[in-house]
Amino acid sequence: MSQIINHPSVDVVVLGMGVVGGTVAVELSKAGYKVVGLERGPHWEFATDFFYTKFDEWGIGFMRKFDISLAITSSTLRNNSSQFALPIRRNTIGYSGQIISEGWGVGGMAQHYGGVMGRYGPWVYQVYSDTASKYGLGFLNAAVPHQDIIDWPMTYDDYTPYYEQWEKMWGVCGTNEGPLLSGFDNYSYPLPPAPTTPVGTAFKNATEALGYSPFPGPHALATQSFVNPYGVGVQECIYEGWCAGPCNYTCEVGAKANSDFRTIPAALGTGNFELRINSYIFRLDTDSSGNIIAARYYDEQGNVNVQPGTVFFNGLWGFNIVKLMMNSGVGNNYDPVSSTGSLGRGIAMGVPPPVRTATGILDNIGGNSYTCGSGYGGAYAIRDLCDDNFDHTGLNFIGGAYPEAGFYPGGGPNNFAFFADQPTPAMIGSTFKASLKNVFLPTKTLVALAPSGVSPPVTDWYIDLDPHYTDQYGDPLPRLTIDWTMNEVNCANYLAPKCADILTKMGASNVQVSPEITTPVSHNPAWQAHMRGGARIGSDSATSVFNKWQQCWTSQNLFAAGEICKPMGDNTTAGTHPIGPMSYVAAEGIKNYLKTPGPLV
Amino acid sequence: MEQQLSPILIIIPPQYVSALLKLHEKLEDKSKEWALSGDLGEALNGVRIKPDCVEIVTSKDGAEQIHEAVKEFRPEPIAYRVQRLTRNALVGNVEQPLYAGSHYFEFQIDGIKIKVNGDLQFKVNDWGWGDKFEFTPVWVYIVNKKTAVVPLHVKLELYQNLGWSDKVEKLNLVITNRERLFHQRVR
Repeated sequence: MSQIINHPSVDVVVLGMGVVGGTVAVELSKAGYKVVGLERGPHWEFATDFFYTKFDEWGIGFMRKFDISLAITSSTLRNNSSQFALPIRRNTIGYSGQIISEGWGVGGMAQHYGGVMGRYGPWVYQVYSDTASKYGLGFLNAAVPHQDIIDWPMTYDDYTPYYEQWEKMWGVCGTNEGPLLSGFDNYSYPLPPAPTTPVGTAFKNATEALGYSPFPGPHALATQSFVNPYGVGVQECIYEGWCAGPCNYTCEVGAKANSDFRTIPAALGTGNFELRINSYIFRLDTDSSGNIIAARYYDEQGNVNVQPGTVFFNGLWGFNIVKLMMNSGVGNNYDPVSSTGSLGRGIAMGVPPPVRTATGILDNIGGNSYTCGSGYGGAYAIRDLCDDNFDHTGLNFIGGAYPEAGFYPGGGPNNFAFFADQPTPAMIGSTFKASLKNVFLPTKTLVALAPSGVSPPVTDWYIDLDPHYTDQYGDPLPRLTIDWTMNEVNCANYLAPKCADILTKMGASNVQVSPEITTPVSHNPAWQAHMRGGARIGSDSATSVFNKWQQCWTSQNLFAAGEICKPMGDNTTAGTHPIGPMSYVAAEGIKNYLKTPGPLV
Repeated sequence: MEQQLSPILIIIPPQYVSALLKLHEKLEDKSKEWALSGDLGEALNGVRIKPDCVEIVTSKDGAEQIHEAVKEFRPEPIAYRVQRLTRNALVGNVEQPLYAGSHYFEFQIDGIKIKVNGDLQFKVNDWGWGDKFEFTPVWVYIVNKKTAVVPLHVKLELYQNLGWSDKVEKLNLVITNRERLFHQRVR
């Protein structure tokens, strides 16, 4: 029979042991504070649990056995407020189906991510003010009708030292990001980039010849044995490639960074940190002032555990930050009719699925790629076509894209993801691989450049609690009302031919561009994991949930960081990179709050 | 806590990272080669062991150059030193006194003891001195600083020669685990 278990109060309660939760846990425990970390999933031991099962392509890649079961919790989705939202019931591969990359276990989402890195440029942090001042508000409103864009509360320059701090801890590999991004005059990423693939070299040469400024695509797969400032180290990447593609297996040597390989071991080493796994957090208790007094969670036996604390850090995955706050009555829920309230407001796609793609075949290029476009090292990228790095005068969209090519190929289902919307057992195993090999090796490599564009927040998109569907504990699921706008369609229409030019310059044959699109494309079923907003940070409590220190406007002892706290979608492929600096900002804010409780702005 | 840490991780106390970064600052423009040895070197190779100092191996010239570069940390004078180690060698089931000879000095960075050995050699009892301790290093990035480390197989060979079976066993386990990874890679 389940019971209520009351725990003694601690200084900081960290909800979620993913990328941001790990950083906050180690920073606060190192500073001498007592910290409890709650994680709903297990603590995988990848050298044993994972190591011997990692080649289970079907089980991991398609049955998603290392993801959270959607029978426990999910989200519902609709394209406009007149539709009936349906729950996401199946995790499938990413390119044409739904994908939900919720973390499940210590390490969180970063167990599954690709390790693609890359800073946001200055424009992303100040889209609203930069666009309005340069092109006029009329341009912005025409490009993005019903736009609900706000600036980040800090600029790129403000974030630069936090970026450096996080990159040195996470082990980001690369050199710099080219002349279009400042901050690299006397600084380089801590680890060298992976050796460039033949496709990456072709992309570099072609883009240079076209007048662009290519640079090695940054990534978080340690190319060298590496020890971070916390004293946690890993062996170098063994170039196996199973970390890539839709399967995105966790790295069994720890080269692909996640909190389990970078921060949490150091937090445990302080003696001030307690890790509690299998702890499903469902409620925040508040006092009359709105401050949080305890987090409630179910343990493995179904007992309700009550964990009081001085400060709470909400580092849950994506929409679950919003779900927890809404179910707890924390924050001001967004009302889409009056466009008031902030919680659930401003969701956007971080990296919209490409609506147009340019493809070509490289013959006799060498290397061992079946295809190009998956795998996360060895590539080159350009910033010339993203942000406001080209003149938008006369164009009908904001932002751009971040073409990048030459990633290492993956070794598992990654390879046939490109060919199968609904893979069947016949499409795995040695027979299928042999057929791929016969077709693509050793002479042909398919290269795809996909200008994914920026998907900015609009007033019509939001998260609320679904009135019909609940998680297994009876709490409403988060309901997403979201679709694409013409902004990303117009962007793709403009940039796809430029991508084709790059492919042609690379020497590709059979260069093709998918047809021009003239109407918005339905979001469903191409909903995917890279979502932004919903609990965004900002300078105005009317339109944001958290301030620049990631402190909640309405509950001063609640902090948060993560994708869902970003005010703006971006046009790079690297959503995880910028949440690292955010987690350090939050950790600093929490330290300040613990010294002097109160609003930090 | 130890049970919660994956065996694939390298764990060293963070104050050692900080000390090594400061050392790198001083040695950055020096041409002489040096490498980390001792327990720290093994820890950086994945052996779960807690170091109590930083041990550097280099040449005699290297030791002199390092001595000059770290003046700020007030190193003791450099001198050739022969020291009997606390642990004996076990040769043919007979314990024999073990000596290390090197151009030696030590200093501290933020309370972390740094020991520098130039042209390190070992001697068992009154037998002749062994070859100078030379090897091709492995490389570990201490944050963003490329750092040479004595390879595990070199230490393994040394321990085998000294008859230190417990250490041989410990290092063998780490090496075997790595080989297992490599075997999986080329399955």
